[in-house]
Amino acid sequence: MATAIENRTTDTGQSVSTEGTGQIKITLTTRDESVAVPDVPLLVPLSLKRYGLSEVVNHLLATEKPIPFDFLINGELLRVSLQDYITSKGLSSESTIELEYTRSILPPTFLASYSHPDWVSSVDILKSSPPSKAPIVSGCYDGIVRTWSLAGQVTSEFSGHTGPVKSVKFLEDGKKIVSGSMDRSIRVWKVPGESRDEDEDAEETIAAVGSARIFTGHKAAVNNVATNSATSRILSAGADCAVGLWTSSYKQAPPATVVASTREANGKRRRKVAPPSRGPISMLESHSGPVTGVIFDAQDPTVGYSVSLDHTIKTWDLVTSELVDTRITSFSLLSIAHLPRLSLLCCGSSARHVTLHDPRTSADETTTRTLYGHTNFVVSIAASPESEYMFSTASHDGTVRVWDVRANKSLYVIDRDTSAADTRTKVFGVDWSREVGIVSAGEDKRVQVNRGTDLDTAKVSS
Amino acid sequence: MAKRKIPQKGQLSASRSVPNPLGNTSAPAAVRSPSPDSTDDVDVDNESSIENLFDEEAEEASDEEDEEDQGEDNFFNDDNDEDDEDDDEEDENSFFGIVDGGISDSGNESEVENVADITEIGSDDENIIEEFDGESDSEKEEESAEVIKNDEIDDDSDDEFLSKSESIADAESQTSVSDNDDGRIVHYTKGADGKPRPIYREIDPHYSSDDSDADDYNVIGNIPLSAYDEYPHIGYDINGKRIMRPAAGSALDTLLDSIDVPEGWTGLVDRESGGELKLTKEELELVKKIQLGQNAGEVNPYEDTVEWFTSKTEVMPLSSAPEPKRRFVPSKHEAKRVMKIVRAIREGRIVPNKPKARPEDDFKSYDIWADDLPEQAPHVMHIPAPKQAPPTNEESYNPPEEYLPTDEERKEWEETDPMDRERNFLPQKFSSLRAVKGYENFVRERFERSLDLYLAPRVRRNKLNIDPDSLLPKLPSPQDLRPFPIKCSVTYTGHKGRVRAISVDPSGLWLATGADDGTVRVWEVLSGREIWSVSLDASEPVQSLEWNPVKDCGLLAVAVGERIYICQPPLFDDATEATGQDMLAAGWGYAAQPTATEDENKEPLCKWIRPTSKIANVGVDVAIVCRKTVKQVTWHRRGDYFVGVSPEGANMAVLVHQLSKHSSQSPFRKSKGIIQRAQFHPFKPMLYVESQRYIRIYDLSTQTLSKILQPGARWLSSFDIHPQGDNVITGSYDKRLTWHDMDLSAKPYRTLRYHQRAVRDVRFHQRLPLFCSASDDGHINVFHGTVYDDLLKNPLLVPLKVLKGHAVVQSLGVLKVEWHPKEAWLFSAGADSTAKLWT
Repeated sequence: MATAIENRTTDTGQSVSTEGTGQIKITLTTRDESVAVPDVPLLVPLSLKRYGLSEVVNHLLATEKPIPFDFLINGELLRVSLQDYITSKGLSSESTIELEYTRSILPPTFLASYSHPDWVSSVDILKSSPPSKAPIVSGCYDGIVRTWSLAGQVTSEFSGHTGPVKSVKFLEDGKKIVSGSMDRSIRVWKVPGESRDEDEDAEETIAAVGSARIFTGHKAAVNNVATNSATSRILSAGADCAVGLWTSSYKQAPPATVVASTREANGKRRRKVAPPSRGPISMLESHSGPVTGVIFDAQDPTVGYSVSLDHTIKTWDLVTSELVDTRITSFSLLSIAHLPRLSLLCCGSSARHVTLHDPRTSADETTTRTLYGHTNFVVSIAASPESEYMFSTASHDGTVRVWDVRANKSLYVIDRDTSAADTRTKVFGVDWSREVGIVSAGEDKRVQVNRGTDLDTAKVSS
Repeated sequence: MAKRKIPQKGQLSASRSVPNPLGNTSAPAAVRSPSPDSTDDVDVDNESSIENLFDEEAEEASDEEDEEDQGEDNFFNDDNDEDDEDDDEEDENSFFGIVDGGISDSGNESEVENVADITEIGSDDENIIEEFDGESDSEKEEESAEVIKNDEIDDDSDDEFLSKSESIADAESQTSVSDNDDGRIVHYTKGADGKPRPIYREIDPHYSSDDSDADDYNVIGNIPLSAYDEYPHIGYDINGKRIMRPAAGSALDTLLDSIDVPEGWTGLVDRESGGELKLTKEELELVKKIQLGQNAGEVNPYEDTVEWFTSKTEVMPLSSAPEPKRRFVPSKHEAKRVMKIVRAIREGRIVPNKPKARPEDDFKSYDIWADDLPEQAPHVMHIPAPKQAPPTNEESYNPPEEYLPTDEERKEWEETDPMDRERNFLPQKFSSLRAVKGYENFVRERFERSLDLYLAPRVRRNKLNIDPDSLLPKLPSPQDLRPFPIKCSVTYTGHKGRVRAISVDPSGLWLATGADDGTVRVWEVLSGREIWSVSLDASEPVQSLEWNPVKDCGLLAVAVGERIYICQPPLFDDATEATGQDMLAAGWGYAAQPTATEDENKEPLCKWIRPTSKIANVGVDVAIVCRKTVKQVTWHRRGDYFVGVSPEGANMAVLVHQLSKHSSQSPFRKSKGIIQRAQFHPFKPMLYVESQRYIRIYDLSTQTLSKILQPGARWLSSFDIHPQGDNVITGSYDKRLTWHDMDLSAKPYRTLRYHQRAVRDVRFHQRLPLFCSASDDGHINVFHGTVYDDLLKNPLLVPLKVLKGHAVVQSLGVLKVEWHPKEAWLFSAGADSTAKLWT
């Protein structure tokens, strides 16, 4: 049977160089029941790479349209030919290799980019089903928060920040938007109701909403915010070395102790305008350097993680507002994301790499892995909605990279669409959702949407 | 030395072999000296004169036979032999007493040798024989011929020689008997030693023969007798008469004649007369004597000595010169020669009593398969000739076809100049090695090779067998000294002119830069976003700026032209702003007070004024107007005082301003050269002031000059003080970075020359053991510099990284550098109107 398979795969016209005449016995397994193949050992040429193996699986499945697959050996992605793999591992070609295959994430292709008047510092996607009409929100250095439809139209603008917006997040299934700014305040914007969705006129859909709940408490710029829709809690990372815990409910929020101030452009300086503001539930002050990233635990909303320029990752118990754990790394950390299934924290550092940490206190190893590839600060990380092993990072080197923790190198590199090759512009923010794809924001004043186009079809076929 | 002994030896041998030399002489009168006072001494002398003749021969003989034996010993031995046997020659014994006393060792060889000597004496003493014999020439010739024949025999073989000597010894004993019979010895008396002593007859001197006596003398001269074979005569006598051929008998007659031997028959033909040569008995005696090598008798062996040089004082001496000193002092030369030999013996160059090499040792075997290594180490200066390349296929007598030249190649080869030829031969093919002709260029090639070897200078290169790595100082690897900046992360672009000033705020979040376009900009460090900017003076460049080191005030001092501005960029929260404003506002009250109490007439050094509203609105709060261009501002660590440096200000070059009182004062009365920079000590009340060549350290509490640092540079550009205060680095326009350890000396502890162009700025990191230097070549050199608490340990300086990225514009590169207050991040301001962050 094995030879028959081999013959037929070569018949399909794949570019298998038969000069490496060696063959190896493999078994194919998968966790995806929809694409399972019979568990029979096959004899395949050693020269096969991912594509060839994918062809074999598709042939076995007899799919009408080929589904791209990725292959794993012992939890490690196969990025080279089988020959190279067994050579590097020192295996014999007599041995049987167990190949696990998963649906491949296709290289994200450029879909669209939405232009802004200024640098775009942050972007967030509303992960809701059914997909929202305006699933993208962006924070801009001009201090305005914008929501975008997939068609590239601004659905609403929220202006009020007196400084550049550093971070934006959806809250409560898209009903609210939280933004943190360099004006040291956090504002919670109420997204205009879905009733406006019926309005055909695009002009009217741009809602200039100025009514925001202002939360003050940070003494310096708010670098990052994180939201938890279930508990309506907000975490903020401040450059004043503090992590703020807030509630989005204005009424429940305690009164502000720090008064937000704005400087009037034309009037005498120091004339303070103090709009009503609320304070944080608590300020978690333990970091010794500016806090750059903060997230909720993806599964437990009472746990928060923060990273700071003081090289530490801190785990917070948000119920008691107490510090649980501190992990010390050797570089300034700029961003953080949580991979819940693997219980890993991916941290982007100023030393141009991504480190993977297990936040559990029981874990002995402080660092499990370091992924190299970026050439500048890694400032934003977004976990993949597709796979528990994947995430994407945005870096100041002008690229967004897609990683799989099982592979040493990044899977895909997404360049800025507009940037010339010689002047790479920084990417400040990235987010990834199943419906929209990978959305990134950068110095080129654009939000760029990339997406593996075949994902849908793959899904349909399954 | 050996030469002197030889005659003695000869004498001895002669005297030994001839126990009574007079016994054999045919003419006893001639032997015996005529002089009445003739003594034995005289005899000896006579003998020695004979021996002198023999001398050379003896030497030869000894050389021939006793080559192995070292001369002296042998001679001594010989002497001893003679002594033992020379019983009758007492006087001789006494005479050679000096020589005696050596080791007595008699051997056969010496006897044989002596016999040989005797024969030779006989052969050599022709003239003596001639002298006293008076025999005809022909006789002499015959005799000598025979004697020589004997000699030849002697030389030919040892055996014969030995037998000969034996026979001679026999003859000796016979002659001694015959001597007695002859009756030349008159009688024997008893000698002093009790032995019989012969008394000889008086010798009658006369001429026993004369040529003129011969009547029938054939005067044909030297013509062979065969010329007269046809004639009845055989020649002519002196009178011209024919000498008739004597009747030649028949063979039978001859036979009969031979049977009936007449007296004196010899069997020889007299050449002169053609008749039988007859010898008298005496003549025969003489011949025998000559044959034995004895004294032929006519020579007096005991002639009087002519004492040319004598101990007696002579009336008319041959030479009136006084006896030279060397006659009676031991010869230094001899001692030298002796010592030379002694030394040679000591050193083993001469081995006395060396055992004779056995003949089997002479046989040398050679291992022809052994490597031909030099038997001894070559001389120190010996340089072996380079080996020639081994022959290749082309040189073969039977090369493969592809090596044979084609006709074109051959033609080309022949046409090219011999000097330009790639090789000096053409490959040839021969059917067999036998067919190969002689190589005509062999000699020339050898000659050219020799010429090359001779003319080409060859040098013995002594290889230094030193591991080059061991010469390098043991420095830790830069990998172990991380973190340090590696590459550019952020570029801050926006300025229109050279960025001359750069400063990071104490929190490390905001970077302030000032440029030649007169603007001050504040950037967000991480994103590189310009947050705030103000144009202070369009015409004057921003020379220097520095954040107030107090954390929560957000004040920035900027030096533009002749003014110093204090700004507060709107980046901070209310509390910070309020703190800063309070610090500024406190001084206005002081400034308002007239300073009448102190110096009414004096114009104040500086004026503290409020800036124009245009810039005041954006955050510039105070302007200080000085008299000269302020090139540098630097804060005291407390944030209240700051120093402005205006190099053209002469004695007011350094002004200390106080923020809280809005006052300025000049700490120095006199200027010490062009003051370029000033800086407060990190924690002590000290002010470091940099002039063109020196850094002066003033103690502010006692108001004294505490130290002068001499970096040794022509023109200093910048300096910085280590956060611990004990070390200073300086940069100079002559490309050098110097590290001063204040505890060591005023001179630099280390000078680092890494830059190609002038060093513009040097900077210590405030927390990490890092420092850097920025240069006009556009590079920033990052160093590791650990200062140990142990005072005995010198600082460890390790070059880490050269950061390249700034473009050189109008031969200006990096103008200013600044470290991040916490991280190992470096900010640099370049002439290419950008600032960069290196992480």
